Amino acid sequence: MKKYIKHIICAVSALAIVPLFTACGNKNDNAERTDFPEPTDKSSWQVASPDGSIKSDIVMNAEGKLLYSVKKGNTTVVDSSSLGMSISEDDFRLLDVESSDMKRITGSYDNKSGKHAVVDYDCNELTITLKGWTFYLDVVMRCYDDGYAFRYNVRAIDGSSGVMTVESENSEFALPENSVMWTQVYNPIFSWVTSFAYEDPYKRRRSDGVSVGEYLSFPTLYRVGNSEVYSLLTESELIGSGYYGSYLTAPDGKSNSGVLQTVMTPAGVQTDNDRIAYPFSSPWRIGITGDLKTVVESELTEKVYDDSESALWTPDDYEGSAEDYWDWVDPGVTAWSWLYQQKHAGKPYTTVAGEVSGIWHQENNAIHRDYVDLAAEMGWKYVLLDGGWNQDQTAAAEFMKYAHDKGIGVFVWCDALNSFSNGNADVLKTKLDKWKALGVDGIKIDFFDGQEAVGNKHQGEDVDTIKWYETIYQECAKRHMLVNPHGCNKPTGERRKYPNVINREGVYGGEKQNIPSSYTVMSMYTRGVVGPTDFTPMVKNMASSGASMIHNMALATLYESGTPSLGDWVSEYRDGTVKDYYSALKALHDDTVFLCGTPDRFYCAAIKMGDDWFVACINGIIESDVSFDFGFLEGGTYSANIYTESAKGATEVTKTTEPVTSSSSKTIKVFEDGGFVIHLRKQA
Amino acid sequence: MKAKRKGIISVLCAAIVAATMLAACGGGGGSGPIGAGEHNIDKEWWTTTGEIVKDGDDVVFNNIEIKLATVVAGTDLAKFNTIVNRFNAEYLDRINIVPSSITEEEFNSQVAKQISNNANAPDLLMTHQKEFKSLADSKLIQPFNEAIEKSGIELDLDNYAAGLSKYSSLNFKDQQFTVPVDMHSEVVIYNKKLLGDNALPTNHAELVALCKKIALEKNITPIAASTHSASFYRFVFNTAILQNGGTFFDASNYKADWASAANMPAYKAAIASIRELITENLMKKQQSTGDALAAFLGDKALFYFVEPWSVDSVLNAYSGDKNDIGGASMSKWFAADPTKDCADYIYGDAHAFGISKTVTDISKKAAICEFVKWFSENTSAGVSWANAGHYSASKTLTENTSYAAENMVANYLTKFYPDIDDFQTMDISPYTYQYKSYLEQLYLAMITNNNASNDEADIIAYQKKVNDEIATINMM
Repeated sequence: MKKYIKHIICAVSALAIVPLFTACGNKNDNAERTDFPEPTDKSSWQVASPDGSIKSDIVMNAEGKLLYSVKKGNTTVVDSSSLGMSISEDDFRLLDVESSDMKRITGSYDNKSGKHAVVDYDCNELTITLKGWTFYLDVVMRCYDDGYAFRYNVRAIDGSSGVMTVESENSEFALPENSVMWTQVYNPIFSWVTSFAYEDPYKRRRSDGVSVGEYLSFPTLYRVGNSEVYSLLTESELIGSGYYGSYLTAPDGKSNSGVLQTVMTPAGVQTDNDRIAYPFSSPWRIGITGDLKTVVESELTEKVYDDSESALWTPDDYEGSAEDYWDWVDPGVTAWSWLYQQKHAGKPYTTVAGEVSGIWHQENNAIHRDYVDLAAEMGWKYVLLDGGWNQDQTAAAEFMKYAHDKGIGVFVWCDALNSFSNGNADVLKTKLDKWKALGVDGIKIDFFDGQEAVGNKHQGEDVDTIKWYETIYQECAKRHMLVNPHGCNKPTGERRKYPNVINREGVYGGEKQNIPSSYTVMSMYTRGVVGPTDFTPMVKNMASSGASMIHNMALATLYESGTPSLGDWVSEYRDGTVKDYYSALKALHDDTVFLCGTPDRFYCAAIKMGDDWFVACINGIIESDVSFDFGFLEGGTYSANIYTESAKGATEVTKTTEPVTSSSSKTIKVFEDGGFVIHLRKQA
Repeated sequence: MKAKRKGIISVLCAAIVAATMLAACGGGGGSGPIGAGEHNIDKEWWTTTGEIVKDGDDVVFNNIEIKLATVVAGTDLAKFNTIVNRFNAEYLDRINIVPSSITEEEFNSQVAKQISNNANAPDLLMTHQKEFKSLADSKLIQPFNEAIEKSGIELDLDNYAAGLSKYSSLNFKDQQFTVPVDMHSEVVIYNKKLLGDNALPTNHAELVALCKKIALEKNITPIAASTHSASFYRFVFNTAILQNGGTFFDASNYKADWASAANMPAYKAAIASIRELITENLMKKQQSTGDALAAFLGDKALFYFVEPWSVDSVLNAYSGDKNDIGGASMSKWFAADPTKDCADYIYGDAHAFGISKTVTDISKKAAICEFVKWFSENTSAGVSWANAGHYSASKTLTENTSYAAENMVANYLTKFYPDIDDFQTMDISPYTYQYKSYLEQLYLAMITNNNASNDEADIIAYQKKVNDEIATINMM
């Protein structure tokens, strides 16, 4: 695929466009003065998206407090809300405006994996530099056509570096009245730990029903008042910031107000977690904003990394182009036996060839060889060996050779802390070297959430864990190894800096089984928007209720990741009805087009993979008729293989075929926990 | 993330913390446990604001959000959440239930504090029925009466299992503090192939005789049960006590009276009935949960004692024809005298709904009534909950033909509980946690012995322990 960059930065004098100083406050000059005049803002600025649809106003009010608001057209998305940080080493309540600058940032990059093969980015960026006693505080606000993003820079006036103590981040989001959220509430995994792995379901909430001390995770979606404008709040560029992961809660004294403040993760012990190195650039606080189509198709979480050359990490001693450094990263569908194994653990394993060979256990390479054969047959690229795989190194090496001889790469499971002496970089390097020598192509690395931490460090999203993520990403990159974090935090755009971080858990996933379909629907509008999602769907439902077979097929299509892990038994994929469908799935989504749905009902989208298009729909509770057209198709006629189910909870699917063109439309009935999928191939 | 590390929860610590916290709940009107017997409410500790808007007879709900705290936290949680999601879908933009799941220990230690401090307090509580007495005594929950009256939404206790609805008042005169949800206990499933032409036993003598016969014919241990698992000793031992006419405490003073003239024979008969199954080699002592399950799945056990929410997964795991697995009732199985009415009793636990005192808006109270009524009467919700192993306490559902025809209901739950009015829970007391905890210890002490020589001494000793702890709580 052709790679191109058109990086245009238009630095424009701040005075040419903004600020809009509003120094005159005498709006009632002719009125009789019966009171003191209204206090006036000291300064104000405005930045708008390139198409002008999204605008952010920032003011420094009479008390010197920084406030911002955001509008989408005439709809207020964020009411007047606080900005800024408080640090022990300076008093940012007494800031002088040093300067402001506006620039246009535009360009594009190619995805290794993502929702689109090529991503264009275009925004206006306003940087307001404020001067304290010993530090500058930059407030950087960007407006894109699909949302806004802001961050802070803190740097010493004398140019020195050091460590500061962050007392609080004052970023607030005042959600308009009557807004409804879809959010994942922080809820520790067990009662005796504070660990959280972002594996709880999303739930619908009123925005004015959040209490102080109730923590909402990023991303959180809300519908603005009674409008059709939605905004998805999240953070990006956390990795490398030196900062901790953040959550949202009601500010002190503002329970049930609709105002949410960005605060330090509640997970972990928080030892010295407020000690942050400067010069410092905070993670971006992002609001992906627009109609539902805009939100779910957006890649703003990754777009804020700007142009591909500066976004991509390379080792200090590397001298080539950054894009060349990462050209080995190869996304592909992954076969995975662990989930199915849970149903048969300890029982004799009968191979596809019909021979009894050992028992169901991850050390049994007879199982993995069958999955390698499946992957090769289906055109997939990887197999994943889970916990217990490495009990016999010689056998493991032989297996790796077997897989590689068939063109299949191998992921292996490990524990982010236990496998590496609780976060010891030297142990990490030694083991990665050893595994690479065995033939390992990537790691599925688990338990970042801190439940296995020894001591007070490396718990959840504390600064040590955030740094540990980056160490792992870098060390794996140096060895050309892919990374699939599990038991981890949400995606924060790291794939733009480290394309080898090709997949990610942090989702209420298939391993939970019996998953209420309303949760998978909501996840499409929330967690699924912000980055790769290793949901691990099956073919057949593992439990007696929840997502049906057709729902699972749709999940395998809709969740995007660089190495989607498919978890069912090999024969399920070889079934004549579905084999062609699963063998056509690709890891990279060349295009994503939202067709219809709402977070409370269903989700339906068209995905382009290679030359083929797929339409997939997952339904929640309420049966309905889903109507859509094929306007996303290019010209010509396509052969559409349509997979549906005949009734609620069906354990089989029905396949029909018909021709469609871009002017065709269709209505399909969807049952509770169900959906449909369509595979479209262009006819010659 | 895969398997997650399990930890050790100090149950006793949680109990003491909860009891201490409740006893110390002075803030917000809390007053701790009050004396036994029925009480009048002289001054309401809850308030009501606003007016109900109606369209004809129907209450108009406008985007009301209800925070629901539930102790449902196991394999049944997904099904519970599905039920809530269904309600939310049907009541979109009118009522939205936001469930949060916590363990019973956390519930006891956290929720009362949240309500007392009005800090992130849930609006609606769904916990085991026995827990509500302490909450009412501490003035942390409010009755449904006013909301029912003003909304016109009926929650008639006559439509619920008698053995459960009788607790709704929590000994406050004319008050309805709780609405029963369901019932659950240890249940028995059996292998129809091994049973053959034999009839299911209907009393203890028949149980022993049948098991001896099957043991001889099939060369197996006919009963698979983890005799030292919590679910076994919590439910089966207490069932045996009830079937022999025993009670768990003296309702006039809340003290355990296990060694009284009325109870001592019942407690001894209860342990004797279980012990006999072990000494006659019809059931292994201290069989592990995994071994018991493996024996049943491998057609090596006629009966299997199991938690009802695990029945679905056992059926899924059974490699043979699932229709060969049936449900049986343990009614009369542990009664020395099967002719007594109490011989039919089955002891278990029950979930119930209650309203936090922090809810003031009458529209929200009415919305809570709407959800509770829906949960009690909606067939789809009832079926989902039945498949999670919870038989409805609502006669509106149990007498509904669609509900009754559902496989899990027809072939299992109605077999486990032939008459829902015979289902019993711990009676009303603020000390149910203490009784339960020491009954478990008493069982473990007695089952260790192969004969009854030390039973009386054990019963006396553990009665003293529980009463000493209750006295300690009352001194705090």
